[in-house]
Amino acid sequence: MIRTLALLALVLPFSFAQAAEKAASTNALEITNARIFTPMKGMKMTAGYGDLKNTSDKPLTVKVLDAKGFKAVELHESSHEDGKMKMKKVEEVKIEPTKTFSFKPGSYHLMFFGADPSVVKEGKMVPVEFDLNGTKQVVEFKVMPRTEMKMKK
Amino acid sequence: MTPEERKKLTSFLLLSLAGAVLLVSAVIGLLLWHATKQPVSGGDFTLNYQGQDWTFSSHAKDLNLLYIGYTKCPDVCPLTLSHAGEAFERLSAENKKDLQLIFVSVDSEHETPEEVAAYARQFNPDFIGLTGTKTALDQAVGLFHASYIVEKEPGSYLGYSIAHTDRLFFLDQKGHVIDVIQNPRSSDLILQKIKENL
Repeated sequence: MIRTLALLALVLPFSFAQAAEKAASTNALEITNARIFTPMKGMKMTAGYGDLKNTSDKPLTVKVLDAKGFKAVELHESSHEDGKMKMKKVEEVKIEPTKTFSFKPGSYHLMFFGADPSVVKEGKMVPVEFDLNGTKQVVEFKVMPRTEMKMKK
Repeated sequence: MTPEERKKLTSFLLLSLAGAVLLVSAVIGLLLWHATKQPVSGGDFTLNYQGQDWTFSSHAKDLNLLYIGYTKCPDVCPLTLSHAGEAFERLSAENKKDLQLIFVSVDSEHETPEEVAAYARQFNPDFIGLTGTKTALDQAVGLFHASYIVEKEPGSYLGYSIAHTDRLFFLDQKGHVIDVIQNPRSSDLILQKIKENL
């Protein structure tokens, strides 16, 4: 028992140091124009967009985990297929080093479900948690009216 | 045969020949027109507006815009409708009287007529949001050579999505398609097409 505790005392500081180092280096993702449509009246769903830049020198696998004020958030892709606009869930997107990947209307985007109107309000910031190569990073998305979104598309 | 009679006969033959040529040309023209004419797309349809039957021919305006989608589509449907709403805002009151936009939601399983109507109104108070039974929707959508497919997505929070035609149709008073914008993502283009067709 004493030996185990001693071992833990030796190992834990290194583990915390490693975790801290990893967290410090997680800003491998920079998102500009991070924005979410204000949900339409009576609707609990909406979409989010932004330009995701991989600032690191390694390929980045991006997954979305959580969004405050929503029951669920997913990555989706809209695409034209057989003359129709089709939308499907994707688990992750990959961004090459130094490249920018845009979430934009009619293409890849974030889908938010089950909006809590007391949190998701126009002008407010919504923290969205991403998984980047296994490390978490939170990015704030601004809730905006659709008219402003159009200008930024 | 006297020279006079010969002259009359020649004239008769020439006239007959000209008539035959005209007749043959008309027949060939008619056949070519039939072979090359575009099939008429569109027509009259009845769907549900806020719980009541809504028949196009009873509400048709000089120019009618039609978009087919569903209210839980968070990406292209609201974008198209907001662009259309912006185009409408830029029209004069005079123009707006002769114009309407109809949004048809094909999500008959999950959306009520009241929800669809309320949804469409948010983009412009005069936008008409319609839906209906699957049979009525299939019939209406088929008139415009449009289509939709409900796809189950068990791994997604919503559990389904609907692939749908992404076109803004411009209809005359009879509901016939007179113009189309593929992937309508520009209020400028929508406004331009409205002005061209109004």
